[in-house]
Amino acid sequence: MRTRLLVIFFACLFTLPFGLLGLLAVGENWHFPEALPPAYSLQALRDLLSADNELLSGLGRSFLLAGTVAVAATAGGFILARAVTRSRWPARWETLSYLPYALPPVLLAVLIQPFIIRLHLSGSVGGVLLGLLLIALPFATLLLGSFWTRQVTEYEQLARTLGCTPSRPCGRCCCHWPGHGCALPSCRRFCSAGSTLA
Amino acid sequence: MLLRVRPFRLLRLPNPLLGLYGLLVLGLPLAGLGYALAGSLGLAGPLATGFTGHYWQELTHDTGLLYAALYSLWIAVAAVGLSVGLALVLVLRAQPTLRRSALPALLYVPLVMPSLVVAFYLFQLLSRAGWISRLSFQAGLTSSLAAFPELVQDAAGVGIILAHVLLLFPFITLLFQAIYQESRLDDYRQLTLTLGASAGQFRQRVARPVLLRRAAPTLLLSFMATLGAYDIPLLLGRPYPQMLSVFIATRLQRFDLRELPAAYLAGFLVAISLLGLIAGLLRLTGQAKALPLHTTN
Repeated sequence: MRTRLLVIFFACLFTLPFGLLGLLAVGENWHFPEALPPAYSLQALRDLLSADNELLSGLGRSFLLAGTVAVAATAGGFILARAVTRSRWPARWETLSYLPYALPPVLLAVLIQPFIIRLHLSGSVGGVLLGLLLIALPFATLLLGSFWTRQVTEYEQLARTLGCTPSRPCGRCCCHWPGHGCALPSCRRFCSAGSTLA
Repeated sequence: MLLRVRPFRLLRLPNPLLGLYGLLVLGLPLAGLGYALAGSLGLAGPLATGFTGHYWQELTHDTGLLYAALYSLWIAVAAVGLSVGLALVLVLRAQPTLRRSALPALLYVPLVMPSLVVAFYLFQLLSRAGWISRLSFQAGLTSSLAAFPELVQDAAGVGIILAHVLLLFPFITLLFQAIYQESRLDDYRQLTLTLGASAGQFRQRVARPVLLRRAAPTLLLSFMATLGAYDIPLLLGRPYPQMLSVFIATRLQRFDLRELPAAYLAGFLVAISLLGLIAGLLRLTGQAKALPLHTTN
């Protein structure tokens, strides 16, 4: 009974945002003190999907940015994580990777803004990409760092003894391994890119 | 037998790659920090006039930055404290629910919502013309808009705290639950009960310290993220007092370029203070980890 009540409570708590925002999207002339909209219309949705609306193009840009950052950060993080794990000071590199998270994103943007302006990247997709990569690349490096264990190194070396070239063990065997971890960075970058562009 | 291969030959990774990474992750923020310091001293920026301590002296008369820092600290402590408390209660008292129901899946739902959307939702829910106010008016609990308590854009930051709790507490609950299972705390529970301890003693003396110590770095990062939040306080906060990120961004976006050095000074001081705070908190959590289990209770 208690379990069911808890589940119902949390289901209501977490689905209420979708319900209320949905009502706001389709409700018309919904003024205080009415608890529910007096009329419903899909006009807002139609306006949203109309050709001259900038939201769809913004959504497309967000997808493009998110995809680019996710792919670049995951690929870069994969290679960097291996380099960090096998460097002379892996702990120091790991601590260094936390630095972009130590500062609030707005403060980080404020600090790097003069350089973004001097590089003529201000207000451009390139500037947003650089800003997002500054956060996403260390995240991917930290996330994928745990993948490069001694066991993976041994598999890699085993593959080499069986005749693989230095690049093939990584491309054929290791790259497929941590794929499941890539969805989260992609999703988060999409949200970040979306809010940045908005 | 393992092959003895030089790391960089095996990786075919050019050494400069790590250097470039360091340049991006450390070099760019540090260069920005240096630029902000130079800007606050009149040595850099569009209206640089040469070395001056004017802006540093002016800081002693301007209490805005101090209030913003204290307000941010209050919001972060309250939001993270409440989230940790709720997550602890759920993990330590509702373990069967977390193991055998759809609750863990439900806890992922708020994690997919961007903070700006959560802020907008809470504004529509809790403001004086919001949905709860309308329901209370219909139920006869309030007689007008003004009779409903101010829950967003209020002086204490209730709306901002609630938004952060809504986003943080599911994440911390999932984190605690993962630690609970990885640390085999259920086995420890059986052991402590066999040795004659009560369920409350297990929660207070065994489970809570283990969960808090192992989650300390993540909780610290969550605290810093809340301290520097921008979207939520921008929508749910007041023009005064402001949280740090809003305070600095507002100063930077003013049309008067003469205000830029003061904004750079604020950015520099906040960045240095946060790095100092992290170093101090990391040392504290490190010391806590080194302590034996029973001395913390």
